[in-house]
Amino acid sequence: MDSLHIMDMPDECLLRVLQQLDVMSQCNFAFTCQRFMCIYEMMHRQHFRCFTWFEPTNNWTAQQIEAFFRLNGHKMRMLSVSDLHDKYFEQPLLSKANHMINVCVYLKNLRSLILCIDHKLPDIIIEVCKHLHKLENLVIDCASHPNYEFLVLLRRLKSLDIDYFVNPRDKLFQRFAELRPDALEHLRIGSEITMKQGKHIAYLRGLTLLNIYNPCYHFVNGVVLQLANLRVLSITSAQQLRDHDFRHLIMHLKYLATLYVIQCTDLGNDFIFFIIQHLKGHEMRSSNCRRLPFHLELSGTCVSDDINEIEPVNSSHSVLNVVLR
Amino acid sequence: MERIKLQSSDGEIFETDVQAAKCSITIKTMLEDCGLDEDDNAVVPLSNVSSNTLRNVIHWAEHHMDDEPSLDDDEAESLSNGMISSWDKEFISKVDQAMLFQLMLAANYLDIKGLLELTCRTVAKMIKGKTSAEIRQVFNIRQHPFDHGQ
Repeated sequence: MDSLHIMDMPDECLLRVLQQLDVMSQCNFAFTCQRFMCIYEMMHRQHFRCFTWFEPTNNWTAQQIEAFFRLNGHKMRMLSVSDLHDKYFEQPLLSKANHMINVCVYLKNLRSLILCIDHKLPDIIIEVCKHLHKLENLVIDCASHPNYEFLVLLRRLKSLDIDYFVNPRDKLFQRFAELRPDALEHLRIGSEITMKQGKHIAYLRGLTLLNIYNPCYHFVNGVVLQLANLRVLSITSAQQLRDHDFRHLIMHLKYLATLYVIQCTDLGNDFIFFIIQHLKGHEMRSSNCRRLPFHLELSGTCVSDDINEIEPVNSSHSVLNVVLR
Repeated sequence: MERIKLQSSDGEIFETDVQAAKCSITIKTMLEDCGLDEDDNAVVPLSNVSSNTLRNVIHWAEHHMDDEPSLDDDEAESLSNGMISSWDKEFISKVDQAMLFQLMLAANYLDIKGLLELTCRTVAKMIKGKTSAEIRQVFNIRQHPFDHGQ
């Protein structure tokens, strides 16, 4: 009777024990035997759906990381990985890239991935394309430009955010335009994009959200105006664009209902008055297909600060909502 | 002060303070529901707890009977993040692994939160920082390891 064993403990006691352990010890506990694995699963069934690979985990050894992702990777829906070192870590965390390459195989259910890794990014991209077949959202924030062409292999990819896209020979958008023009719905490019790249984006007819940086006149007229389904458009650093470029966007993009503009000194109150006139004209002919009120958010333009008090803006909040930052 | 008699599974009878016995929610409920607390000669049978274990449980409870009862799980949670008191440390260091599990089981059955917490944390400390192989060794777990290389 007195020779009780840990296996004689009821589940609720073992769960309490598990709760006292750090993440890594929990993994080791889980790998001890089948029963402990079940206890671990019981405790973490709902956990790690959204996982931020945060800095303290860098103290984990490769083996520990493998164990953790082997146990929990399949549950993850969102993962955020960064090798940026904060004040506690003076060395860049090069090892994290290697770990990321190794754990992709366990992330088959991942829907969203945020990658802030520079080291070995080409290898990581290949692993991501190989294993993350359910990936829908991908954010890549790094200071290098690997070959992104393979991303076209991600069959469920709907939303793509690349902060630094500078290689004019990258065939990413060409491949999407050729193979899966309907796939992408949201696209953000954080760096200036050349027309050589941009011209392929014009064929991505599924795009409803586009976020671009410092586009030229040709890009707006040759590419953005072709994206007939665009609902949301954000232009950062719009110095190359003129008032009439924006009027064209409003007139031709029938579904556009949200516009963000940062830095465009050519935009003034007249543009606001034009939008109201245009939207009201459509409303009267009941040929409007966009969601109203139109949301316009501006920063660094010549629109006056009291625009919302001026007629006709003042009485048109049902069709236009202006926010100045 | 009121006394109460508790009977272990092997028939031994222990006398202790009612308040100490009421550290156990199970006993407390039993007393209140059955009106046993009015009967001076009543013996509460604890068929799941051996005399060795019960001796230790009573020893622990008599030290803790004046503790503030924790109100809810949240509070117990916050307590559990604190340190183990030196008395508890001393107490638990004197029991072997078999008794540790006896106490855990008894605390679970008798619903004694503090003792359950103490035993679980002690077991957790034995696991912390160890590999799976070392954990198997410590607790003598004879199960085939996973095909895992650890």
